[in-house]
Order: sequence, then C-alpha cells, then structure tokens
Amino acid sequence: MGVAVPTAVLVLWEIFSRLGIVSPRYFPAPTTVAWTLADRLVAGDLAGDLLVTLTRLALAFALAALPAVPLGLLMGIARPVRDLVEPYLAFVFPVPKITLLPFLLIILGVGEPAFVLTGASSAFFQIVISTLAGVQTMDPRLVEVGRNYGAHGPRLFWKVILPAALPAIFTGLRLGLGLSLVTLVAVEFVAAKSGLGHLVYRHWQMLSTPEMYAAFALVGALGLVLTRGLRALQARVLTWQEDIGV
Amino acid sequence: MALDRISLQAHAGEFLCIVGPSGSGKSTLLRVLAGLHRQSAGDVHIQADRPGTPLTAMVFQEHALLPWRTVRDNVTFGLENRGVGRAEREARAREMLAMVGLARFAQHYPHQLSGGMKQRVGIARALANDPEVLLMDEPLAALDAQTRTIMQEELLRIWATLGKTVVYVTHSLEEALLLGDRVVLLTARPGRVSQIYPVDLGRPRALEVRASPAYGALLEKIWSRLREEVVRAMEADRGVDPEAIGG
Repeated sequence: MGVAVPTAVLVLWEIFSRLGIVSPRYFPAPTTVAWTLADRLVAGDLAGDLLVTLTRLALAFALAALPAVPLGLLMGIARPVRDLVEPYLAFVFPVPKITLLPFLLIILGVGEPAFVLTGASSAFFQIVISTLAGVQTMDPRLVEVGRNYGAHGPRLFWKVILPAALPAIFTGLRLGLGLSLVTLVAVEFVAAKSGLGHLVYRHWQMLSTPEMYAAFALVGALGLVLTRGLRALQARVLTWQEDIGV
Repeated sequence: MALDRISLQAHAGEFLCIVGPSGSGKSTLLRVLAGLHRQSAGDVHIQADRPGTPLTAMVFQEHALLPWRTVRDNVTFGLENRGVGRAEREARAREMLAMVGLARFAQHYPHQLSGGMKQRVGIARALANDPEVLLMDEPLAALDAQTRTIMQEELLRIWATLGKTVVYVTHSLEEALLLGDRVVLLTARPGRVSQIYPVDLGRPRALEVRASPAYGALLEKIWSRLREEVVRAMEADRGVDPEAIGG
C-alpha cells in the first residue's frame, strides 16, 4: 500500500503524458524527468546548486540549533525565563518565516545573511518549542528520584533533566531541519540567484519542465535523506528509547 | 491539608506499614519523610547512626527508573551522586542485583524488563544506597496479583536478610499484615493517626500466615475500623459533610 499508490500515480502520469492526454509540455513523463535528472547529475550541472542549498541549510540549521536548544532548556527549568519569552514565541511561531524575508532583506540587504537567517528562523522556533516541551512533559517522578538519590542543582540537570528531554530535542532538530529546508527553498525561489529553489524558478520561467520537476525531486530527496539520517542518528545515540515515532 | 497532627515513631529495624483510605495522605507522609515535600509544620527526625549514608531512599510506585540508564546504572545512581568510586559501585550493584534475582540483567535497559523486574530494580536501587530508612510507596500496587504475591515473599526474605527500617505505604491491609511489625491506620483526609496495631504474627513470616486464625482476627479488627474511614472518605468525595453522618 505504501508504494502502491505513488507507483500507480506515476504509471498513469507516464501513460497519459505519452499518449498526449495531458500536455507533455507541462506534464513531461516521469521517465523523461528521471532521465533528465540522471543526465544533469552525471554532467554535474546540479552539483553547484545542490551544494549551495546544502551549505545554506547547514549554516541555517547550526545558527538555529545552537541557541535554540539551550534556550528551550533554560525556559524549561527557569519559570521566569519561560514567562518572559513564551508570549513572543507564541506570537512569532505561527508566522510563516518566509514572510520575514522582506524585513531581513531591508535590514541586511540582498545576500546570503538574509537568506540563511530566514531559513534559520523557521528551525529556531520549532527547536525551542520541542525542547521546552521535552522538559515540561518529562515524568516529574524522575526529578523526585534525582532529588531523593542525591542529585541536586547542576547534577540534577545533567543526570536527569537533560537525558529525559533528549528524545524531544531530537524530534525538534528533525522537524527544524525540515522546516529550514522548506523555507530556504522558498527563499531561493523568490530572492536568490542560486540553489535548488532558484533552479525550480529558472526552469519554470523558461518552461523547461523536465528540469523543473527534476529540481523538485532533488529537493524532496534531500529532505528525505537528511531527516532519515537524523533519525538513524537518534536511534544510535538513544538506544534506550523504546520507540522513536515520527 | 493532606495530613494533620501526625506523630509516629519507627523503631530501628522495624517494618512499619501505613494504611488508610485513598486521599488520606499516605504518599504525602512518605514524601515528607523523604524530604520531597515540605510540611507546613512539625519536623522529621531520623537518627543517623552511620555518617555519610543517606537518611532515606524511596521505592516509588511504578518503579520510576531512569529509562536511559541500564539496570546496573540505575542501581548505582545514588552511589554515583555521593561520589562512591566505580569499583565499589559496581560491586554493590552486583550484590544487590543478585539479591533481587536480576544478576543476569545488569546491562538491560528498563524498557526490556517486565513490570515485576522493573520494581525489583527499584528495590535494588534503594537498597544499594544503603539508607537509614527505606521508604516504599505502594511499590507492588501496579503489579498483577500473582507477581505481587511473589514480590511480597521476596520482600520478606530481603528484609529478613538486611534488617532495614522500612516505612511501607500500601492500600492493601492483607499486604500490611503479611509484611509489617506494626500497622498504622490513617483517617480520611486530613490524615491523622487513627490507631496503631501491633502485628503479633511471629517472624520469620511466610504466606502461610494468611491461613492462621490470628491473622484473620486481626484483619477483621483493623478492617472494621478502616472501613469506616473508607466510607467517610467516599462521602467526603461526594461532597457530604463527614461530620453530619456521624462517623
């Protein structure tokens, strides 16, 4: 069932496109897209844009995760910090971060800092919220165990609270990475002159649809590989977890 | 207010059971003894005969093991926090895990164990910490009836071996009579000491004691009093003034 439906869609698409029932100009056959993708990958045409997007993503993700995890933890253990920050978080979190781009472009000008920061912002809020939730939803009895068995202050944090929050932190990182990619591709689509998002835009403008779909597929594959990779890392690091979930 | 005017003394090496209706503050009492809950008035005095050992170690309801630690590392958790060296910690863990019959499971994680095994680890963790007083908060309540019976026998054996002072909260009068030297009956909320019953059923005690007439008589005697408190607690839950129905 998992692969049956997408396969059926692709097969129908292939047939309809080949028979001209749908316009092959707008809906090129999946095999044509696949050949184009393979062809361009081998020729190395896509490597440049792929690398650009990956670099932006790595920067954005690091820029988001490094402050977000400590902030989420701090909010979790220090009530005043939580009360102070939470309203802003609740205000900004639901705003699609792509809408920050014009604002950042005005402040920082058109260029990498504005692109990367926009991508980082979408991951940042997700990671803060997941980390905070990890601390808040931990089993409170584990804190009592810590205290009753002599873990106080920093020791309670390192030995009990942080490990208890780790699964949620990992989930936050995974979701954050995905959101970052979504936002970055959108940023590239509307503002950048390079990257996979820009590739989609350029080929759409030129109506070279096989290349456009090939870029789509590449973005999807990138997201799949990265989030699956983080999940595999989580399974390796948190061997004690019963079930990782999604 | 959960508790009111509680005055209790446990003797060294005594197995003291606390029973009472739900909401009588049994668990709160243990948490006060453990230093996890600050009482609004009064004080707790635990005589520490051996400097450097912790005053209390709690066996929690539903085990409360740290899921990211192996069985062994759960057992050594208290020792680790007190700065006991690795070799000594591990030797102590081996000893305690052998005592609860889990020597082969030292490297397992909690999620790989059954409910009964997890609670054995919880008991080993408390014993390894070698406290002056062992506090047990309905440790067997979450287990199925058969596992519970096996664990009661285990507890009798372990207590006979180590001779620890134990304060044991349970909602099961049968369990209190099987395990305890004395049974403290708390009233409905706010919990007060209603009556303290010595359990003169001899030692060493085994499950067979449940067949003796003395056991039956004592059970009946305490139950008739406990029953009143349970009914009072239920009436209070339904919003009826407990004084109005006259005890």
